[in-house]
Amino acid sequence: MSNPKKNGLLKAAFSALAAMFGVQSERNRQEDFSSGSPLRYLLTGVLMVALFVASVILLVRLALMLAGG
Amino acid sequence: MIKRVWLLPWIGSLVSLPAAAAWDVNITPGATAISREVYDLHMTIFWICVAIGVVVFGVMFWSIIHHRKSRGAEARNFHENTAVEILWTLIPFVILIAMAIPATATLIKMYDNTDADIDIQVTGYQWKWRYQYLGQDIDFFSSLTTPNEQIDNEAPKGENYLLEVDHPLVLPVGKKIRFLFTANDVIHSWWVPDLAVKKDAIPGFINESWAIPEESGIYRGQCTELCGRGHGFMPIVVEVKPQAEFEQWLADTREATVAQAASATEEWSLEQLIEHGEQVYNTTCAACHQATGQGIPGAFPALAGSPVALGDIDAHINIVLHGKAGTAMQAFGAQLNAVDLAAVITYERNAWGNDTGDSVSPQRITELQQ
Amino acid sequence: MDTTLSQTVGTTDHGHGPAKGLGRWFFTTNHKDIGTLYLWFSLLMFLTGGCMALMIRAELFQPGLQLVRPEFFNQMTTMHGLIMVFGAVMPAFVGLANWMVPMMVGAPDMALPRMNNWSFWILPFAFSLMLSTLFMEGGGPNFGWTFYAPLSTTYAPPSVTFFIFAVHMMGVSSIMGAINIIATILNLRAPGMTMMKLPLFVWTWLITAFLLIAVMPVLAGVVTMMLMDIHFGTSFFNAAGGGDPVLFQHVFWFFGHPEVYIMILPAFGIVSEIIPTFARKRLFGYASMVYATSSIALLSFLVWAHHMFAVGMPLAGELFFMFATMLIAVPTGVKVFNWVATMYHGSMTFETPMLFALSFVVLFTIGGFSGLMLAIAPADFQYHDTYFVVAHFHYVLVPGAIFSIMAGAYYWLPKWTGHMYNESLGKAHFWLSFVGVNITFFPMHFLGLAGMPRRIPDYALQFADFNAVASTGAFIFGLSQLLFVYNIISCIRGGERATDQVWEGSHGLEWTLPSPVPYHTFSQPPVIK
Repeated sequence: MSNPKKNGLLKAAFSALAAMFGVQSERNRQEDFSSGSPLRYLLTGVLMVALFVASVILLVRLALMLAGG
Repeated sequence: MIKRVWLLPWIGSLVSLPAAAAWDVNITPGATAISREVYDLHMTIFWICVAIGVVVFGVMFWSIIHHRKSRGAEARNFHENTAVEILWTLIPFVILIAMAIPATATLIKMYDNTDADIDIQVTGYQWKWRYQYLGQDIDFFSSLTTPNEQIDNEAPKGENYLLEVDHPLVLPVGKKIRFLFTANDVIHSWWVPDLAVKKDAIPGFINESWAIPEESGIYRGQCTELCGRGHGFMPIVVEVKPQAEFEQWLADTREATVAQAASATEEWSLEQLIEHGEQVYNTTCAACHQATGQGIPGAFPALAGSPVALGDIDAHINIVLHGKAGTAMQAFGAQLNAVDLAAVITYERNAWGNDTGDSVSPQRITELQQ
Repeated sequence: MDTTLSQTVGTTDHGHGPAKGLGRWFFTTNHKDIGTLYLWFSLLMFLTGGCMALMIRAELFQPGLQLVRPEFFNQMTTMHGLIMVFGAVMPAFVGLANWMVPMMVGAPDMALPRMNNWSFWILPFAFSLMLSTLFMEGGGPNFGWTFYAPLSTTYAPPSVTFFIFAVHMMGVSSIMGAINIIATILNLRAPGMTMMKLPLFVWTWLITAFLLIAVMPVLAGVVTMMLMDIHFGTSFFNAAGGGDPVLFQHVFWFFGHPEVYIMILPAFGIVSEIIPTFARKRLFGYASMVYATSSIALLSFLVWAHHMFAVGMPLAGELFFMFATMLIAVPTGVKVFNWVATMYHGSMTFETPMLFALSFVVLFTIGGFSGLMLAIAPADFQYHDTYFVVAHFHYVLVPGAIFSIMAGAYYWLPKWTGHMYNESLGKAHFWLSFVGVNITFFPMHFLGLAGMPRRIPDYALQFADFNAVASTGAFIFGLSQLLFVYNIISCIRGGERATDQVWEGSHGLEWTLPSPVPYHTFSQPPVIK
């Protein structure tokens, strides 16, 4: 943990998103693995999964609303 | 065709195969608007899979053919490409969204159980179905009629082997039928492919589904949830009739119920009871207790020589009427009429060496049921 | 992954080799010995479960009941499933992990060697107990490997209690194995072996081990609830007592779906080791492979109810599970694309491990396609609990999991034994298996679509022809496994000497060790730059 950037949380969120999506450029990956504690990425990961579940639920709500349910 | 020729020796060994429909490879478009929508969804997703498969396997086999060492191919040294990776993640994603939209639309329609013309409660039993037309005074069981000799290969198999029942479910054309599913013992599942209805029948639960059959005809299905030894032997037969014929059927069935009730007050001789009892036994009891009355050791008790069948008559009647808690023995009081019950109990007390000579009258059953 | 080695230390002989006699196998704490035990046990169970499958296929060769009665047929389908899942596939992967993980990360042994011994030696007892139920009064478990209540509680044979205890023991064994693997990977990596340099087999196993720890307690929970219902008067799953039979299915599949991935993620790892070796090219998209594996693992917790589309869930539930299930196709697709891109512009040769790995890619993908079809809930009403589902999961488990295990066995056998296996025999085994598997399972798609339910001992006449074809294929596949057994035994007993590198394109720490590998390796950690 040498030099956490100002938008560290946002960056971690982006990296977690990239990991979920499955693609990340080699440069970003190297940066992630050399900076910050793994804990931060783990926590963001868990948060992103919760967000993912919430967004699928929203999608279901939307579909039901469009169908007039 | 080539496949057929290669298979001739195998086919030759199969008993009395009807030539038609033996090589069905796809689901049926069915007899309802929903079943056709489901068929279309099935074909769409199938062709999407074929298209993806052709591209992916195409690249793979092209590489296998051209980039092999024996052809002098040298390995190149690339091992990532962010643009390509993003592309091949996004494309499947878009295809999936395109697929999810029509699927969602169909599913929402399938869940619209409102405004039904007829409500039918379907109850799964080990191993038969019960159909109750709610508010119509019609209530009957539907059991397999394929004889044991056909199953045991002692007689040639009929055309509808294992797909035939004594009392089919009868439905009118063009009416919205709502099915209410439940079960008496374990979980069953009611499936008729032509109606695109498959729903689990679960003890303690009521599930709903619906269909509007558009053409008259006979549609066959089967139980699709493992429910014990008779799971493969509880088919579903649905007879869809024009409205007028359906009404006639309703009237006839009600009449038959009344006639049956009347026969319970008649006098039955021992021989008549045993003769009728054997039929009832074979469709209702033989699945567990076996046609030989020997049962299945450890699972279902034998009736031949059993203390119940040789002992007190009323105790015997009581078990048949109310079942035995904690075992697979069902309460047959609700399933069979007084004549059937009297006949089958008489049969059990006089068959397989149980020579008690006892005769149980339908009147006695009616008395005990009150 | 640049695992350039500065030196190969660690072959130093401490002078204590394996113990003599049977005691070596009972008391061993050596990861290689325990790996060997796991693999032999798994092979034995594979053949046992295979015999049961052949009994099922023999009965289904023609319509009518010929060989067995329905109650015994149900015991065969149940035992076949349980033995293949818990006795063949899972122990085989644990065996491969035992052998390979320490060698791949540069560790001298597993982190917890005594627990390692125990987690193996529970298994023979668990499976003896489970198999013994077949000889008990009322017969063995006859309610399918998914043992839905109340068929498995109120209506079960008395032997169900032994089945529950056997499942508990298997669970204990799996959890201990998983803890051991995680501890080894996280703590015993050689200096310089960072997480993103780990071979993919190690990565996939790390994620699998977390899945195991997460879901095996759920399985233990559900069988314990069954036990309470059967013997202690509770009504978890008994509607008459206010319980809920559907609760069983939710809890079971919350275990069951991640379990499916437990059986396929290590297979992804093995194939990701083998394809680069024989394509002589680095694995394409290593990082995305790791990410995709984690994504699949996370999604696996969110899709369990797609096994239950027909139980009558509310519409919102059906939609949620349909969408989540369809999403799994994305990371799975990424894996397949990466394998194909690895082959593209490689320099390929086709030894037996590569043949199995390639057919894995093709046939697993076919299983993935039918999985995608099954995800479409409205269409699933027509597929659910038919032979289409049987075809689907056999395509992902037989030419999927099993083929990857066979590929791994051929790939590492020369390293383990110091001898090359017989290549022509290996190829014969591959081609017979490949043809047999497809003749067996492809027609099952047709059977299911035409309307044949699964788990039935007898069927209507229109299903007769494809059933005869499938049964023929099953015997081809089953008998060709004897070649596999013969090839393994003759490879252990002798054969052409294997070089240390074994394969021209081999990559990774395990190939820097001598063939056969000494009893103790990496007592001094290697240094990885």
